[in-house]
Amino acid sequence: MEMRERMGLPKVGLFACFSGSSNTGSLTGMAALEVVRRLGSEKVGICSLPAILNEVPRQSAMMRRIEKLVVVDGCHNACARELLADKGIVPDVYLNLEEDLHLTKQGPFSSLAFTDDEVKRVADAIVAAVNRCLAGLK
Amino acid sequence: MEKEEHVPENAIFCCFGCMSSVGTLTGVAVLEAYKRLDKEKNGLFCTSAIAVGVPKHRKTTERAKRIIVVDGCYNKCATKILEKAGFKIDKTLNLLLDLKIPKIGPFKPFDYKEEDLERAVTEIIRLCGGETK
Repeated sequence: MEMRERMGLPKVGLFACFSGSSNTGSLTGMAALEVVRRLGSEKVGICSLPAILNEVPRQSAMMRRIEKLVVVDGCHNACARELLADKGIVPDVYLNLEEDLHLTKQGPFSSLAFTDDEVKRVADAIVAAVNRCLAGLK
Repeated sequence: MEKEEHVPENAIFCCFGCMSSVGTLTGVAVLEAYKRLDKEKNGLFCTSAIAVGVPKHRKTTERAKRIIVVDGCYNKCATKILEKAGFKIDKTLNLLLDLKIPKIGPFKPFDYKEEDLERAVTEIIRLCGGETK
């Protein structure tokens, strides 16, 4: 059994901005959870952005053992990518909902202004990103 | 002259660190609570944008009357991010420490009970003044 499996680590780690202050921020979170529901925790696991920022030892150590990372941001501020770059973490695949999926940020406080269809569309895009990473591991 | 943007009294932040059950629960519960809260008085704010220092988010947060932070566990990540950015936190809710909701993880984002979600939602609404709309 591989070390990764013994530690219960997923093959691909997923970071999202998880901002609830706008529709696109909420969408990153809801879609990331949907992706784990679809693919399962062995293939993809959500990593805690705030824990990495605070350099929580356990979470940081586990995240650094995951082979591939996908990072998802909701808007042009690209908070997750910027914050991870400050920690020296570069994603294998990056997805920005405004830039790549052309979703419109309606914020501020448009936290609930998203639809099930949009969650599905974003989840489809993240699944494709995860699959690209998984293909690279074969 | 440009009209100044409305800023809710309560600025609600959460960790939404979905590596564990309680991390997921902060985000899911805050969104559910927000559905039931008065939107004029309450708003969800972006923890990541504060960590980056996005000026617009910082200014909006400074104009809120109260900062309310919901953390999932003893790491208190969202609280630390706000404090590092120089903000004084008025009210906190820690799902593990205050509500004794177990932290299950890593990589167990859905391992929480429906009744724990409802408890978290109720407590967040109470923390925000208990007014629902």
